Amino acid sequence: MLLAPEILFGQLLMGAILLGGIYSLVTIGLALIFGVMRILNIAHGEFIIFGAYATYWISTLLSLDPLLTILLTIPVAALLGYVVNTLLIRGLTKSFDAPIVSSFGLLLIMQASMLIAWSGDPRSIVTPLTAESISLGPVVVPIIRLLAFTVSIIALTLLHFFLTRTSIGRAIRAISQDSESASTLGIPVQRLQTFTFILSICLAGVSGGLVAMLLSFQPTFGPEFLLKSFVVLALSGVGNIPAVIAGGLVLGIGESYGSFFLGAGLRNVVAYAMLILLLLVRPTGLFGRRGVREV
Amino acid sequence: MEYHRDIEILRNISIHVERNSVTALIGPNGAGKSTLMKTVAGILKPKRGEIILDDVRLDGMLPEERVWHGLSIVLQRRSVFPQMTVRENLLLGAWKIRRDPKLLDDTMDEVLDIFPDLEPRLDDRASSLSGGQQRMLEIARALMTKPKILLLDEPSAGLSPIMVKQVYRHIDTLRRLSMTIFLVDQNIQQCFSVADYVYVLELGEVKGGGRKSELASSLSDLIRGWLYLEQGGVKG
Amino acid sequence: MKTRIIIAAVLTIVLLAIPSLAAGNNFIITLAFLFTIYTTLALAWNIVGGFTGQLNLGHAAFFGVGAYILALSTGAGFHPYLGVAAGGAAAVGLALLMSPLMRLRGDYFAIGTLSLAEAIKVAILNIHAYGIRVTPYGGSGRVENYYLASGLLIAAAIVTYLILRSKLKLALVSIRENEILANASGVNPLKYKMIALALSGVFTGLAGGIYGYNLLYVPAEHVYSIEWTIIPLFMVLIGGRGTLTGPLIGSIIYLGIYYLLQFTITEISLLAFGLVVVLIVKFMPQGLIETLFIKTLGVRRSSIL
Repeated sequence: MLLAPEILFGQLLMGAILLGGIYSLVTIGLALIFGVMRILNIAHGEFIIFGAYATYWISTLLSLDPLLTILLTIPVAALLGYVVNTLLIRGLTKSFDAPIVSSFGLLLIMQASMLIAWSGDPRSIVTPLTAESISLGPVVVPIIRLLAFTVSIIALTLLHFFLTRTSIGRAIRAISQDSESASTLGIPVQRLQTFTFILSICLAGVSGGLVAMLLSFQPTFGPEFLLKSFVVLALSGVGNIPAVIAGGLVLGIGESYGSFFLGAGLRNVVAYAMLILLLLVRPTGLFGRRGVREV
Repeated sequence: MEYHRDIEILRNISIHVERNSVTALIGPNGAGKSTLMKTVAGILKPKRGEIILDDVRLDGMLPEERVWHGLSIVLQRRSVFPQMTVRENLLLGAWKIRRDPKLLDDTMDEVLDIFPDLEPRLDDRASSLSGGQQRMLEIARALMTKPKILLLDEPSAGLSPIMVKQVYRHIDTLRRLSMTIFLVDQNIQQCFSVADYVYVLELGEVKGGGRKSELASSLSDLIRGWLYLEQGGVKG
Repeated sequence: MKTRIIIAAVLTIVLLAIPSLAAGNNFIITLAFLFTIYTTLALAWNIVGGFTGQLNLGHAAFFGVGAYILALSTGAGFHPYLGVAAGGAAAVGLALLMSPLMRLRGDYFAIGTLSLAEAIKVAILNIHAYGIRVTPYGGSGRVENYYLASGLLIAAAIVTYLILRSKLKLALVSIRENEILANASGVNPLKYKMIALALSGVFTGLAGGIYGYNLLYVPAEHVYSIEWTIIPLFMVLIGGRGTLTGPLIGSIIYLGIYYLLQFTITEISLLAFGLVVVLIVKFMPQGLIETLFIKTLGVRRSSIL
């Protein structure tokens, strides 16, 4: 029976949770940049795909285990983040949408570069674990998904502790709430914003590496991840990490159950519909704080 | 607020703030007091001029750099970090001294001695505090930066008369602790009573200043004029 | 004043003379057709993105809807001109449907429109995976369609000019500069944003209809593709927002780049466009027209057409 409880509340739910955890990691970089710098990085999806390629190439060329390779992807992403920040983000005109348009140009540059460098052929990372699953009771879980989920949760937890328990993390949160005030306390606003930007790119890169292990990807997949991140962001607001995790879970549930009942082709439409509804109902997210700083 | 490039708000400003005392800048609505404060703090950039603290030229430095040289400002607007606890707000003020845990603890104790009302609220969200308490938190937080000079931009803004008295009682405490304070406020009475030195700002220009005791008589006529305006006119 | 009329007249004559100049060269006519469509879209996008300062990243939806309704209308037996008009009307309908989104602040509006356009595309793809055929009305060919498109472009240019000279422009620009202040001054932001969006939609929808008819085939992936947002945005960005000459110059520059890339859109051209966007935002955020005119010729901003 297709609608048996094991399916509905077991398999689908497990799939939703695993998906949600990964979506949360995918989103967190975008959330950080938006919260701390008030910039909507439209090229966010491209950085994720870049991370996927970086992990793919490093693990292929050095014959390393992909999970270990992700650790190597981090410095590569950091370098890219540093370059992009220096050339594009710093000294950006304060006009009303210079950052968005600029990041849009960046999207074109990155996507085109990846297409030129690595062609449009789909790739994915295959490991001995790729086809393996384990059974948790009546539910079958692909190991690779479980691993990706675990890595995501660990990364998000570390980030959460960093933001709440360290002085730098606290300063970053302060900047996201009131950057002018923060500067009057001696907090080096620009330096920490740069740091946050690079951190976000690294997080995007790591999530890309995980994506590479889970599905086949192409240079043109960036915008899809961007839009998924938007959905999670709209759900969670830029308040805090637990909210982003919750948002990711909601998207995971929406997508899993939506595509089960409506068909796989409409899977993304569920995401978009959620996004539009959320934007209309609560532009600052269901869990996040009210009223983004205006003017 | 944006200041139009083409209108000169401040002209010919020359103010000397004496160490270990309270210097007040008084003036009617729209004289440019907040503009001056923000310029000294580095939030606004002047076309010309120098800002010197202990032989160090501060002009050209970002606000955060000025803090390292000992200058701290409490902004006129609400500036607590609303989503963070009182303790976190204070810890953020201690950014400059964060590497020295002992100094940080001692400073925290000192600050809480001056503002004992904050102690029971340490783990509460800053947004849950009343207007007056938030103002105290802002001053306490600024004190955590161990400033050589503390700038107070309209500390009474938006507060009820009782709260204003409380805030000024604390400012007086700071004065007795020999803090160097530069202060502007709409509330001339309070401002005046706590000051050692007074400058007058009218329409963007400094119209005189010096020791309060010496200026008392000439000032009182000027102030009476403003108070008259204040009672009949628009409250700042 | 006289120079402006002369320039406008010359441009119009050139525009209308192209088919004769091309003398049967289909490639040139098709290229010219494509360009009038792009320029019309640029002028339309400019009304919302330039005058009103709202970044509409879902512009392609208007275009796609116009083409789609045109195809459906001709399939139902209507005359193509009626179909095109229906396409325009449908686009206006979509604009009205988008009205809740207009309440959103800048960034969120951009996201909302982008996702809406993507959602519509995916939804339509699910119904008509391979597109719909357009039933041709005997007798109209490329040249007629070109004149139709040119006529639309001229109309869009005239409307933009009229906006520039009207109170509408003041209202829209005031919303762009400071919406809160505009509201306090008595300008209802929602109402004017809707007017701008409807105007933008009608021209884009009509263009979509004409395009679809010319193509005789309306594939969802193509007519709802983000390129119909990107290219007009690009033209307005380069040329300058909130002016008439801006999008026009931007269009000519785009044509130039396109020519240099030998009329093919490849990854390299994407790269080139990305670089241009980034460089323009960094060094000439006001767009070519304003930066050139103001910085070098000392022309006042308000007098730029």
